[in-house]
Amino acid sequence: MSGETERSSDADLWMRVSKHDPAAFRELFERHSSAVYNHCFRRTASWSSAQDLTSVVFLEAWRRRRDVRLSEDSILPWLLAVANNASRNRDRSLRRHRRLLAKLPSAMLVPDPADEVAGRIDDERAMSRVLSVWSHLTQPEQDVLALCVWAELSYADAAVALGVPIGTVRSRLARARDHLRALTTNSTIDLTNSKTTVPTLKLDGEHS
Amino acid sequence: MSYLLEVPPPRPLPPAVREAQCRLLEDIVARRRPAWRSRFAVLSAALLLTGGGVATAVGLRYRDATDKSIARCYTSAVRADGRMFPGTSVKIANRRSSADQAEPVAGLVTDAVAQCSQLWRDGQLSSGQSAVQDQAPGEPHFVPPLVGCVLADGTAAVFPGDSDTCERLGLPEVRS
Repeated sequence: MSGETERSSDADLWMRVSKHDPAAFRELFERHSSAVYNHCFRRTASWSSAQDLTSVVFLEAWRRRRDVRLSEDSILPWLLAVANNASRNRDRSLRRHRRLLAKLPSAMLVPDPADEVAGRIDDERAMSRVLSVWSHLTQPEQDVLALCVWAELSYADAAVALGVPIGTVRSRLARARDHLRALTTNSTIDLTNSKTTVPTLKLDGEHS
Repeated sequence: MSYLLEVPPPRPLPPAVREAQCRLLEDIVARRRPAWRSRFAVLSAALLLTGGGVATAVGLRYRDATDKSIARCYTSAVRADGRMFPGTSVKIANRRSSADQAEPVAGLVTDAVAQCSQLWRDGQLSSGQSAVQDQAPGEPHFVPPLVGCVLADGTAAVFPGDSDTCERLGLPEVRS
């Protein structure tokens, strides 16, 4: 398409961010906030919490800017790893940034069309059901599944995000799959890791 | 019977929130505070807090539920003080204290969060649902993080949320 401007890489933007360039941080936020927001929702089953946690993830990225790890020039895997931790320690994370978060509009003050509200409530209900199964998995299993299946990260990206070797990602994913199988009698679980996989967790309870 | 657990499709951040978040982050990144100023601010805050500010802040933030005959279990963190609200009310009905009493004695809801947690665990409450759902006994259901606040009429109201939820709703947190 003509007129398309050259897109800065995450690495370039992060370099500028570290020199206190607010425009670069805005660009990174606009690029990745949606992925972070939806990832936080999937970890908490609450759109309202996901909204706050999205802010927390980027505030944490700024606070820990010297620890940021890029994976093949993308900051997203690292942001999602921060989102995993922030979602797990939701209260502590929100407390740490409470003063700043108080400056943001709360979810209930944002006008939404009625069908949008109903849809979000349905989402929360559906996600709560999924998390009730997930709560039986170990923490590392939940993290690796959330990154590789729901966020559709590659094994390499997940390895960078989690700070573990790629083989560990594979083995954790395999263990998670086995664990889920054990939780659902006679089940088959679609945990194929691929960029083209629909982020769906299938648990077939019975089959012939 | 087969069942499928699907992840809901992605949704965008509400535009107003997204813009507010963006501005907040830009502001923080643009800020460069000299080290001496940060240290001075921390020192000043510490001195203020130790001078009795803590007691005042805690006093405003926490309150006892004065009406323990009933508690409200909300299914979403939305403030609704009237009779219509997303969720249900809980009362404790004690056994008769003596044979000659015709009616059960009403008990006190001493731990509203625990009472509401039980309803979530039993599957009688679910996110955003306005009515109680009848559930056969079975696997425990997902219980979101819950927090107890105090409504203006002195009853405890338990919301899904965290320690900041009461403050956001303009309510004091119930003193435990």
